[in-house]
Formats: sequence, structure tokens, C-alpha cells
Amino acid sequence: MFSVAERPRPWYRRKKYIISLVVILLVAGAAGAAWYLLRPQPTTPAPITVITARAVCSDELMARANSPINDNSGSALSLIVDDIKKLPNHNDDPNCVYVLARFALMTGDGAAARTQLERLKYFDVRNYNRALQPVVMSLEDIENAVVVLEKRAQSMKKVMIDYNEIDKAGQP
Amino acid sequence: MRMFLRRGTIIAVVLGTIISVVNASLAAAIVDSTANVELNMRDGVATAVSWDNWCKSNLLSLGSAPNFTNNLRTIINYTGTYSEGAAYRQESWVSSSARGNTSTPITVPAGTTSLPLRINTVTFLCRPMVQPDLSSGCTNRSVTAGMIATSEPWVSSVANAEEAAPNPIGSSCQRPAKVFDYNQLLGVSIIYNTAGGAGSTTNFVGPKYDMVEREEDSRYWFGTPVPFTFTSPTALTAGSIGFRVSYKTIGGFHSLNLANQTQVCMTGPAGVNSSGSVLPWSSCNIATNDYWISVVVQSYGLEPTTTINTALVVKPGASVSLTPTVTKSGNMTTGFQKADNTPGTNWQLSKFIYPPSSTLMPPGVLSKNTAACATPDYASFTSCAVLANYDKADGYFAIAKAYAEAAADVVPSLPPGTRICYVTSVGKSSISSATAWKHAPMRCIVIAGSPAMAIVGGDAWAGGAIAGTAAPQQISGFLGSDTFSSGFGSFGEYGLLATGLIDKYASAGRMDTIAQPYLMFANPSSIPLRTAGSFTTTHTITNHQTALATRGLAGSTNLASFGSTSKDYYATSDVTLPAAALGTGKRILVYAPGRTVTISGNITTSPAVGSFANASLLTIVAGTIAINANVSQVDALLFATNTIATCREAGLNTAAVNANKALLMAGGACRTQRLLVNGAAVGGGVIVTRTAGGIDSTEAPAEQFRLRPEVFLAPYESATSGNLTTDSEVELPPRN
Repeated sequence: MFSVAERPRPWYRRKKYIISLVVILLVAGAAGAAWYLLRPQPTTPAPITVITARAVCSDELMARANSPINDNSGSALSLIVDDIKKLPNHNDDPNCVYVLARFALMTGDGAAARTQLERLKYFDVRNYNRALQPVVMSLEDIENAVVVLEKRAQSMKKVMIDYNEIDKAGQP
Repeated sequence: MRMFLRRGTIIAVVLGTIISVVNASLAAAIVDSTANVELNMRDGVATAVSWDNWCKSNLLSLGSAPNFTNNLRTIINYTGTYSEGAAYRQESWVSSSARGNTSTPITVPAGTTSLPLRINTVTFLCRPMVQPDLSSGCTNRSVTAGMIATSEPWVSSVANAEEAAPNPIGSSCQRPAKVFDYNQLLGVSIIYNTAGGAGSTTNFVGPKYDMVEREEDSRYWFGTPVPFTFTSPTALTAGSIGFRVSYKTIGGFHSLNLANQTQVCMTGPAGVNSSGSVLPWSSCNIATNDYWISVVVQSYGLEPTTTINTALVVKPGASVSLTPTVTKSGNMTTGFQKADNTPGTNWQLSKFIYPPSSTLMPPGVLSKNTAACATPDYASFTSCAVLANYDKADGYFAIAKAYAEAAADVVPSLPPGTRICYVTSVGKSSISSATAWKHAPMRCIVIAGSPAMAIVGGDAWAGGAIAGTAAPQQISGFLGSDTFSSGFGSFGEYGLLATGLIDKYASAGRMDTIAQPYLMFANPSSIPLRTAGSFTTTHTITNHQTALATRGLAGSTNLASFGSTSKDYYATSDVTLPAAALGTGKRILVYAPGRTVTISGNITTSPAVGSFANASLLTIVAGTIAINANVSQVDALLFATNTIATCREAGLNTAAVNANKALLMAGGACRTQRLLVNGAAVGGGVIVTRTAGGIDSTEAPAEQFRLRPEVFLAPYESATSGNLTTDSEVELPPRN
């Protein structure tokens, strides 16, 4: 048996244990606080609203747009797009948005095309101007084209050649 | 192609493995116009705008105002994971065979199965590599990145391709070292396909070669497109296709002369190059790249439909409202043709008439070369005519729009069972259609009688059972015929009491009881609107077979004297009661429990009585009471434990009536004569099948059950006679 004087001190009376325990608690607390502050915040999806269509782009403007759309000429269509973007509320006219979508597709701008496509989806009516002919891409058609642009952007590879080394080979 | 127009440059390819440029004279001065770049670049000039903008950004971001004295050339050359410096951009892509610009989806006619494509390649020189050379061939090494960034020609607008000649070949400052990229295309596989059917293939057989070489007058170095064809076993649909191309590329640098040329494996491995000699393909790695196209299928997509807005069961003279509609589901707005191949679109509504005996199964959508009235599939009609024509001369249909017209018709005076059918037809509904017409599913109305039954002078009860019988308790109600706008129908003059449904049946002598169920007492669970009834299914009505048994069983079994005197008769077999005029003061009981009593002629009493005691009263107790079709009046109290049938010829149960429907139709026995029953009627079932007057909207009901006062007052006057007694009496509120 131990006498009182010989008995080992309880663990909780040992100073180094207490200090270690405090440090552990502090570290754990700090880690928890950090996790809490840095945890991913839930995002609230943008509400889907119906866009009330209004007539903004004129028949004349749409007639001008139809030709470069059919000719696949982004350079020609860019002039009409400039005019459309100057019109107030042009985003409220599915005809304007359709031309913007076609221009975005034509110039390979997948992000812009996606934006216009999403906008087209939420119009209450999509009565396209009859100047748009003979084909008006459906939402499905546009979706397919946008997806292709997005896939293309993901699959694009760049040439990884050290041109500085090649330069050295060509220098006397 | 422009490549074939150039003179002076001869590229010898021996077995696809040796490249030797033996003549490097300048090409003819053919400059890529904006239109040509628009036609052949992947996304037209927009691609060059994107690339040159990329080069400018790299030029400015990778160094702080460097010049060629320090590291500007290194910055221009920079190639990293996310950046390509500011010298060149090389790319290949798949497009339609018609042009390299593939920014707009490839549009094909419906029915297309084969898609001609091509692999395009281009090397684009960014602004630092083209004239003017600010460094003047490196004699001015103080030119900075900022100076180049603010000097033209940068391709900054899709309206201008900013064509420019490359600076002289070199390996420093603004001089491009590259002179060619030579591609060995080894194979094309399909990695994604939502446009073609399963089993789609390409006809690409490698290796094929594509040379992209320095052009002295252009910053756009296009290769010779390599064609191949995508073939689907089924017609292409709107969708996209992904291709994976395996290839090797050898780049040539520093000189058009092989002796001074450096050739490098652009597809790796790193460092493999040759100086002054041909680099064999075998020394280069195979790389892959994925290419994507989307397909738009041209389609007219005209879908005709016919909607009948009014009742489908009608009477002659009724108005029919129709909506012939053509819905545009395709993506082509114009280009339609009529059946005669002239511009425009045929669109019409046709009307067919089928006789009652026809066994027409209205067909669904039909694509035919004939207009509706000339289409054999609609055979057996007696007449057909175009009811309305909506031909569109301009042949324009906006996409995703339903074009609806309003049409009207009046039901002709034709026999019940006649069907009138309507078909909306549109011409050339599909761009690939081999037929001139598309006919909508046929929509029909049928001419039918709506015979009415009236109960006047008293209430009517449906449901429950006859007390003491083994018949199950019934949940029954009152079901009338559709009357629609004809303004007449079945009704009870006073109250209707039912354990089941009361539908299309008026009460309290009113026709507007749908909204206000006056004097309707039905169980709430059966018709919530017609509340106030809460009858149990154990409800019973007095069994007069039992109540009159003493008298009946003691009656005469010889019915020969029926009608001539007051007498009780007891029938031990089925009997037929002939026509009889009972006059006044007679009390007659025909007691035929479990038997069928057929009434073959009118049985009448005289209403001209001095007192109710003098009123004649005929009581018939039977298993079934069947009234022949020719009978128009029966003045009697009818009690049948099984069935009371008002037109015996049609049958005594629902199945029999359905089998004998012809008797209810025009010319049928049950359609020619109305029936008036003066007296109460109690039956285990009541089959009222007369249809007289059911076609003409103003005629009286086919059957009337009229509870005249003498029916229930006469027993009071002769209470000791043992005739039927009033089961119960309830004072009713006055009618509204």
C-alpha cells in the first residue's frame, strides 16, 4: 500500500495535463469557429419569373436581322445587335432576345447565348416577328447549340510548345 | 479553295512521312477578306477577335512594360497551362462541308440521314507577329508591350478581320518563327450523338494530311479542309454530335528552306525536333481533340386538330360550335406548299355524315395525298363536304403558335344514331412528307333522342326495397337524359326522394333545379348539392302483395270477364290484360304474385265521377307488369315486386333494352307512342324506355305517371273494400 505521502498525484492535478487540455480545447474551438465561418453558404436560386413580352424591336429591325442570320454573318449582324442594345427594354421583347441569342451563337459566346436562352424560356408569349424566316430556331435548337459551345469550351486543347526553345534553335 | 490558287509553293509529301519545302517563293497576293474569314473561321471574325484580344491580354499581363531588350519576346512566346502568349493561335474544328464557319448549327431538311462534314485547321497570327513591325526587324529593341498593344492592327471588331501580312520570318522580336503546321489525321470516332440514330458512323479512313503553311500576305493561315461524312441509320433529329479526332502535328520553323528549317513534334514528346532534316511522323505522339456540332432539323410541323365545343349528343336543329386548329410545332415559318405545289397552305374543315347503322371507328391522324372527302379511310359516309376553308395564301406559320378558327354548324334533321363527324385537314404538314394532306383525328357528334318522363300529381321515391321481399336494398335515384339547350326533360311535379343520384331530373315542376334543388331529398353522400335526404338503405315501402293477399288469393282465376264488373282475380300463370274501358264505380284487383301481367291495350276509367266513391279503381299486383308498345293509357295502381316496363317489346331489363335499341330508334315500336299512367306505380325496378318525342324539342314527355286525386282519395271512400291504402302522407310546401 501507499502511504499518503507516497501516493501519486491525480492526473488532473498535474499542471502539464491541465495546460494540454486547455490548449486542446482552444484549438478545437478555433477549428470549430473557423469551420463555422468558412462553411459553404447555401445559395438561394434566383426566382423564376415570367417575363411579360412587349414589342420593342421593330419589323424593320427584324427584317434587317433576318438576312445576316440566314447568311451566318456575325459581322453584319453585329450592326443590328448594336442597334438593338440601344433600345430601352430590349430584353423584354422575345424578338430582340432571339436576335441577341443568334448573335451570341454566331460569335461562339456560349455564356451570352446561355443568358439569352434562359431569358427566352420565361417569356409569357414568344410571338416571333414574321420577318424571321424561313427558320426560327426553337428553344430546343438553341439549347443544343449552347450545349455544343459549352462542350467545345471544355474540350478545347492548347498547344504546349516552348517557343523560346525553338527560337534558340533558329538563332545563329 | 484558296490553297489551290496559290502559285510557286510546292509541297511534296512522300508516303505521308516526309515533308520538304523546295520552293518558297511568295504566294500570289490573295488576301483574306473579312467576308472570307467570316465564312471559314470557326465562329467567323468573332474567333479572331477573341484570339487577338487574348493575345493582347497576355501581352499586357505577363510583364510590366517590358521591351525586347529584356524579356518581351519571351512573353510573346509564353506557353503555359492557361496562356498561349501573344504569337499564334492554332485550332482545328469540325463544320459542315459547305463552310468552315460552324457557329450556327448545321441545318438540314427533315429526313436527312447523311451529313457531309469537314475538319478545318487554321493558324492565326496575333498582332505582334504581323506588320507593321514596330521593332523594325529588331533594330529597335526599345519597343514595349504597351506600344504594341496600342498599335494596330488588332482584330477588335467582328466587322473587320484586320487582314495583315506577317512580319518576315525570324526568331526574335516581332518576327514569327513558324512557317507551317502539318497535321496527320489518324481517325475520327463518334463520342456523343443525340442527333443521329444508334449505329451512326463516319466514313473517315486515316491517315489523311492537312497542311497549314505560312502565307506572305495573310495572318490567317487556313489548311486544306479534310472531308468526311457522318451517316445515321435513321433520320437526323435536333441534337448534337461529338467527334474525337486523333492526330499528330509537326511544326516547321525558321525557314521555308528545309536546310535551315527546324521541325518540331507539336503533339509531343517535348523536345523532339530536327534541324535541316525531315522529322518522321513516328517520332511524334498521337494527340486527340474533341469537336462538337449541333444539328437543326427543318420541319414544318403543322398539326391539325378539331375541337367540338358543344354537346356530343345532340338533337336536330342544335347548334354545333367547332374550333379547327393548326398548331405550328416545327421551326420553319415559311416555305409551305399547297397540294398543287403552289406557295401557301391548304387548311379546311370537312363534314361527314354517317347513317345510324354504320360501324364507324373514327380514325386518328391520317397522312394522305387526298383531301378528306376523297380519302377512302373515311368510307361508309353518306355525304361529305368542306364546311369551311381557311387556306393561307402566304403560307406563313409562326413557330409554337396555335392557329384556331371558329366554325359553326347546325345539326340536320336526321334519324337518331346518325353521326356527324368533322375533320380538320392541313396541306403538306411536314417538309419531308410524301403526302399532300394531313388529316386530324375525326371528331363526331351523334344525333340522339332525349326522351323525357314526368311524374305529376305526387312525389316519387327511388331506393330502398319492398318490405318483406328478399330483394336487396337498393341505392337508386333518378337519371334523366341530357337535354342541353332544348329546354325540356324529365321532371317530377313535386318532390323527389332518393337514396341515390338525382341527375338531369327536375323537381318541384321546375327546370332550373340544377342550381337550386327544390324539393329534392337525396342522400348528401350521393349528390352534395341536393341535400336534405338522409335515408338509410333499410328504407322499405309497403308490400302490397302481402297486404292484398287475402283478397287476391280468394279471387277468380278466370279473367275472361276482366273489365266488365267489379271483381278480384287471382292469376296462377302469366296473363295478358286486353283493352278495357272501366267506366265508373268499379273495383278490380288483378292479383298475380310472381307472374307477369302484360297489358296489351288501353285500360281507362272515366274521370267523370260524382264522388270519389264512384271512381273506378284497378289494382294490379304482379311480379312483372309489362305494357305493350301500342298502349297509350293505363288507369291503374301498379305494383310489381320485380319490374314495371313501359315498352314490353324493348325488354324487361337493361341488357335486353340495349340489345333492342333499334326499337327505340326511328321507326321502332317504342318510339311511336307515348304512355300515360293514371295511378301510382311501385316496382322493384321501373324500365321506362319509350322515346316518343325525344327528338323534337317541344314535345311532351314520352311517359307520364300521374297521381290523380281519386287514386288516394277513393280508398277513403271505400275503406272497407281492401284496396290499396295510402302509404304515407307528408304535407309539402307550396311550389316556388
